Amino acid sequence: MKKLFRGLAILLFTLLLWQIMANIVHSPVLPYPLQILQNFILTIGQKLPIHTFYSFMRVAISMLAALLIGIPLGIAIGYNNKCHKVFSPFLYLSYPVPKLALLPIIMLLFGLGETSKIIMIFLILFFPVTMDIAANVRQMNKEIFQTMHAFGAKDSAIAKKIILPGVLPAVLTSLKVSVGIALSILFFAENYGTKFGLGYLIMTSWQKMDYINLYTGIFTLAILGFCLFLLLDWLEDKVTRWR
Amino acid sequence: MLALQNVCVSYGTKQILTNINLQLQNHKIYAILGKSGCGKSTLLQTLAGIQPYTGSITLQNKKLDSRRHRIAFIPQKNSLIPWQTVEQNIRMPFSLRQLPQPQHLENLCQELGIHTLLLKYPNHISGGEQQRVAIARAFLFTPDLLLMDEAFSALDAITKEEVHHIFAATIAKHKVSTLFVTHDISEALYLAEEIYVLRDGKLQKPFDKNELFGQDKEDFPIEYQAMIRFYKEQI
Repeated sequence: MKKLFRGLAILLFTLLLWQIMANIVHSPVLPYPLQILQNFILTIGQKLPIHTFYSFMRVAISMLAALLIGIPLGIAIGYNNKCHKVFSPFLYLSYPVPKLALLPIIMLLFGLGETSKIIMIFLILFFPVTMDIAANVRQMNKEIFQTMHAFGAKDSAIAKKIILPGVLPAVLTSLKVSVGIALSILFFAENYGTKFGLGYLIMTSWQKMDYINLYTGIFTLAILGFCLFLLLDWLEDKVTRWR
Repeated sequence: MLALQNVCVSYGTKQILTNINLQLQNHKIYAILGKSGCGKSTLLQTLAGIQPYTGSITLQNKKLDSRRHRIAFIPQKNSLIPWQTVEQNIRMPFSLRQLPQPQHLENLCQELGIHTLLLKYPNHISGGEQQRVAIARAFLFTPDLLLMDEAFSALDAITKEEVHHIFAATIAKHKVSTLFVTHDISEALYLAEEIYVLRDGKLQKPFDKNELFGQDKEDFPIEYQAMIRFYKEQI
């Protein structure tokens, strides 16, 4: 709750700065925040929720896919030396490749529909999540695993019941770092083959020189990111009580 | 009964343990005494199923297998899972092996004086309390064999003495076959019934604790004899 109030205070401060800048610039290119807020409230009853829903779902599905593949793979790489030797070179090679450069290839391979958009955001999230988990598991105290082996535990049970809860803080930290990048990539991915999404709203408003709707889209994207960060912060608090 | 026949362990080309032969009775406490680097931790890790070996190791006449037998292991430190509560740590071996959870956890924790710590996390309790939690985890498992690798050496002198007393009382009640390694002769004399000396990866003949107290054993390593005399004077 404290964090929510702090977040709202920062939001109000940002709006105040925006108001001052808009007064200085005094141009339709930078409308007043009050105009945007009015438009935001107005469009909530129109198409804004559906644009937000599409953007949120694209990020959520990509995030879920990145976690479903990244967590087991990261644990396997961090825990098992053979997996580390096989998969790490592949990760080291592909992680630094700018994912946006892959957009044309992904569009050709997966078409202009939802799949290519989700894969694009998935690629942004998958690599840091997997690598952070692998590094986190490698740093875990090996004496814990040895002790549990002595108690007769199988590797699969150790991975599920000891390592998985232990890597959750690393997963959340990694997501927090990459969610911002994912939202900016979402903006690019929503510029083709769709009529829904905040990226689409921003671009079409720009083309029509409808700055009020453009800023409403940007504002909503910021709110979406803000809510995702709050959610990740809340989850992080829940899983790091032991620290 | 635990029996080792011609057990050898190597790290690459380096032989760490050479032809270890050992026969340990049920419900007795044995110590393996040796200096750092003599191979005592390796011997314990071999029994814990962590180190590959050649030769034969049997427990109750069956090949030692940590998944078939119940083996409990207490290492020197850091064996508790920091992100699990004390209670979750104590119950973890049962959870990992999908065994039914025992009912006597509360009583055991009261014996060990850790019943008020069950909801705390290991990082929020002292080193002595952490080792008592590790002891509780081992005893709750009702092991066929309890292995301890310098389990008390990371504790300060006062805490070590306190944990020694608690451990001795608990083991007297629960009668668990125990093998522990230590470099501390006073610990071996206090807790064990028989003491083996491991030197350069080779195991020497066992010494009965009472015999060691009775008369000077010339074949007992000279570096420990002064300590035994000092210990005798103390008690």
